[in-house]
Amino acid sequence: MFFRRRHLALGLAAAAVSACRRKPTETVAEVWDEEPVASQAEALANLAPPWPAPTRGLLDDGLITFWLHEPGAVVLAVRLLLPMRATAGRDAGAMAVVAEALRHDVTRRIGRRAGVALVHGPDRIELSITAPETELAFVISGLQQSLLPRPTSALDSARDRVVAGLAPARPEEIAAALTLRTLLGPTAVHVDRNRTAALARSDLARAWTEFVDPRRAVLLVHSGRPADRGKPELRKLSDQWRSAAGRDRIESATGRLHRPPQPSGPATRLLSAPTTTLGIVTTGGPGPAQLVTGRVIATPTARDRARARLAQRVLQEELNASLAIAGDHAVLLVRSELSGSGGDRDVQRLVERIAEFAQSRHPRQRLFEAAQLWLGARVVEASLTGEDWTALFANAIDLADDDGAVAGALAADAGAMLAIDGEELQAFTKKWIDPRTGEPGWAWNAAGLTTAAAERLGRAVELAPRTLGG
Amino acid sequence: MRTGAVQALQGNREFAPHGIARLVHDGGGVTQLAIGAAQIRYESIVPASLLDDVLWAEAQRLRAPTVSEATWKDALRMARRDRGRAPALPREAAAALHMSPGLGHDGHAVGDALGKLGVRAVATHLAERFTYDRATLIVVAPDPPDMVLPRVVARFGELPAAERKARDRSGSARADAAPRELATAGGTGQLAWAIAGGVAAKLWAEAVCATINRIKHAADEPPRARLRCSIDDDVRRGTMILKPAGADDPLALVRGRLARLLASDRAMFDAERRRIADELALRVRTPLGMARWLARNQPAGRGRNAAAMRPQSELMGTAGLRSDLGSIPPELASLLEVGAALRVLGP
Repeated sequence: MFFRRRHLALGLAAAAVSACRRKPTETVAEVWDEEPVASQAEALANLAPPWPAPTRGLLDDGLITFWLHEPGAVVLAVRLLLPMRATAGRDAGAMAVVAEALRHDVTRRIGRRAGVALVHGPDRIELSITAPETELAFVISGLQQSLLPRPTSALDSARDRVVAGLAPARPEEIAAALTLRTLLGPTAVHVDRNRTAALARSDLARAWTEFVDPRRAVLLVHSGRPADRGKPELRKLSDQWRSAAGRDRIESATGRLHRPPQPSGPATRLLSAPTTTLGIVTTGGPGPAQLVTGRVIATPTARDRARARLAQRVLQEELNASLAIAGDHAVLLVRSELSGSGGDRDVQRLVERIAEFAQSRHPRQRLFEAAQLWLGARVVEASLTGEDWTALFANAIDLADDDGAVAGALAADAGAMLAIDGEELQAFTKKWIDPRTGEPGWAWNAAGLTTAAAERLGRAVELAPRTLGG
Repeated sequence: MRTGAVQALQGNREFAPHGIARLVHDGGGVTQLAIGAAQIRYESIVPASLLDDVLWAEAQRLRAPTVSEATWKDALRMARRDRGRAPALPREAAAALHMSPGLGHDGHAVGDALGKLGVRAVATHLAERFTYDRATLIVVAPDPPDMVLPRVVARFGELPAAERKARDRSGSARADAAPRELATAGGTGQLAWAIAGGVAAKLWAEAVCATINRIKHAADEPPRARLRCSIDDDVRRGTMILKPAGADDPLALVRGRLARLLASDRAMFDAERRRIADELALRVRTPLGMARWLARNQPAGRGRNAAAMRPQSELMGTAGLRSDLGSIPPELASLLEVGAALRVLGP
């Protein structure tokens, strides 16, 4: 595939012609539709950290912990996963302020001797801390102090920092936020500058109580010492950090971090009955007009999750497609630029290309290459970011059916992905990815259009003006 | 050499131009080219499942490289885009310090002469310089060495037998009673030490520099005296630079502070060298970090000595840092000796 191959000249005439005027040899892509070599597939399926069975704990305060022991590890990695799912009446800006207040305080307390980073996952934030293994007590103690209710002045400062750092929303962000809102209900993922600036101290304090709650959180520790030797530190953390929300705890990490059952999404298709209107925002920050379309895909089993991921990986070779999996549901988004003069053609073409992809049967070679790239990049990224097992383990929670399956979820996901053949994926894409004849559930929005461009777009599809605020 | 390294990315009988990069990227890996003053590294980080493919690719990389007018122009274009970083010392001073005239030139400049080189000259250059008997292969893998080594041997075993030509390209330090002096544009009175090749010298330089930057002002020093230390890192041509300021006799200031490392500020120096050794353990935790650190070691000798096994402590270089310093190791002694430095003055 990467190797140069000799081309045979066919016939004297051809040779004579090429001697006069040399033409570039036409390249014909080879198509292999065979099973991958067993040893290659097996080696790929085994790409997961060699972690032994993690020690799972449920602390008195309701915090769920997973202790990953790597004998001889010199680096400690601690990752706190806090579900931050916006609900009706709770603004996304409040979540951003809480996350910033937490990051800032943890950095202030332990940043001199540890690396602190805030990572955004599907419907959650992940506070990642790395430090020398000897700093376990220091890190857990600092984290515990930071998790106590924040003084309102600290939340005020965090709000100011968030507002100061907000750039005007780009058309792509506006269109994605509107599409997600249509798909997931009141999940207002867009942080609005004015609304965030107007958040009162009481709002922020309530948001802190709601989100920074051990009964909803999951703590992952990757350490060179066994779980027993970390118990005293975890006990201190549990004694100090108590839930103030007064709600029932969810007993499993998968239950806490997977998306809750979805409200029935839009029962619509794109450019096909029952058809949906195209939401448009004629304002938007800098950048060309953008269209974002998407849908929720049901992924109740590990096999479904592997199919969804493989479909997205193959689709993203042609279109700008992303997928966020969190247990039983995954959200697929496809982004496309709209030209000022031919937006109506762009819209038609996008739907055609997605439908064409969904109806196609892809050869085994293409599926194997897509799986190889995805599975390889997953472990290479983990290696480049410090061989932090907690990052992959958090990913594994999204893929597992229950807590007992988390440790083996990456390997199961890899095995399932490599076992999918062309027919199986085609059946899946026809059902979930075809926007015209597949399962209903599609929504789309465009932002950054001029009025004239919107008028032209209106010839191809029924439009519905939208705003981020409503 | 730099342009030659880029040209070597243009493929050979087995790989199309940038074919090895495609092989690595298609497997989810990352690959890059690192060019130093006296070392070129082709680095790839790949999932373990791709190890055999990458070993095979490395066993092919330097064989019969493709050289044509088009690929040479492409290599020159790529080389022009890489601007590198600003040198910490004036080039003339760096060349004098390391006794390496090549450092006096901007290695990033792609002049007309290179563009006029013929295909045959480029091919000859590559055939002379980019050969396996000068190269070192470093593999950091999750499997134990006795499982990986046979896989390496199987891929490279068919290469014709040759005497190893790799040699120690580290600069050598020399100590006199007083520092040598050089007047050149960009000189501000800074003192520069060549860091000897190998891992231990690099660690000692870090420990010395970190301590110098923490040492407090002494009562017998001029009130406005300041001394800052920095390291211009390079695998083979590393430099430690001290910048004195606010003192009538800068050499006395430097001598005094260096002497304090083994006297009144010994506890601080001991703490810093322990910290540096601990930090190294974190740095080499990832395969890429470990491979880069191992690449700092001297080549494993010439001829029959090439395959000699070396203890891990020697390859890591931390044994001295954790010792009680009963005797001063030569790598440290030369850094504490002002006579080993080059003083760079203004014109």
